[in-house]
Amino acid sequence: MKIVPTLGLIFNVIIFVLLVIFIINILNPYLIPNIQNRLQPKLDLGLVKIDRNAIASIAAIAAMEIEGVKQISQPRKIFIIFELVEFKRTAIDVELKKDDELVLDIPLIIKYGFSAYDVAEQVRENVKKTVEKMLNKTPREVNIIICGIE
Amino acid sequence: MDVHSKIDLGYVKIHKDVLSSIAATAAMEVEGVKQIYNKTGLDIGELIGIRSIKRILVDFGKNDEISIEIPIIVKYGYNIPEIAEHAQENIRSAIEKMLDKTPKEININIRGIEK
Repeated sequence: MKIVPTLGLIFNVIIFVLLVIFIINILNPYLIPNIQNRLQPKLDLGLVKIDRNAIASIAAIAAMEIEGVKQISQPRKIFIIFELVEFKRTAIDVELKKDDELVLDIPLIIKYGFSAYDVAEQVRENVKKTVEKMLNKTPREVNIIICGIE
Repeated sequence: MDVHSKIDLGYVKIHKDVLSSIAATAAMEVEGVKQIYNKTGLDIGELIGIRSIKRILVDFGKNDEISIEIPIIVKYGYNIPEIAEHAQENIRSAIEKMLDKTPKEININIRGIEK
């Protein structure tokens, strides 16, 4: 006796996956991890929370402004599944240490012919400047990893 | 939420959706706010026919205290604390003007940044 996977089994699996995605979609506002930043406004009307993805996209836009940066290297293929359900995993790591100190890790792919050291230095300065301007907070470390050259 | 009128002819009921749409339009007036975050990745609920999930959470606690939580996408280059403060003030004044009630809490979640 061999157990052969029939069409019914495949349909069951598909329906199960759709159900799981639907349930995660409903619970979504409660699942996304938030950084609770200490930005207390003067009126005491409530909190202001800043998402990890927001800080990551600030760093991404600031890094792409520099001449010589080809792109920011993509996350692994597995995380595409999470992207469907809105758990966006950007390649940039944002860590929040004690006393709200920010540490950013940026993986880069640079163009052929540019000095890697100069590009890294410029990217670091620009990211630091824009994060200061937008969040009123200086990141403690901006680490840059050069993943490739194209 | 119930609002009693002065003539005692009955009561006026206000739905949560009214508050959330007031908050959304007041937040969009602030300069630097790109849009209200409402993207749902795979919206299977809409395909089946269930209404999509509300992103602006409105709560009435005891004694009709209003608390609102609103997710926002900000434009690149603006200062986030200033924008959040402006949005809170604007939402509070709009609700005070339209409903004669001061909200207790207005929490703002910044979900993303776009150019």
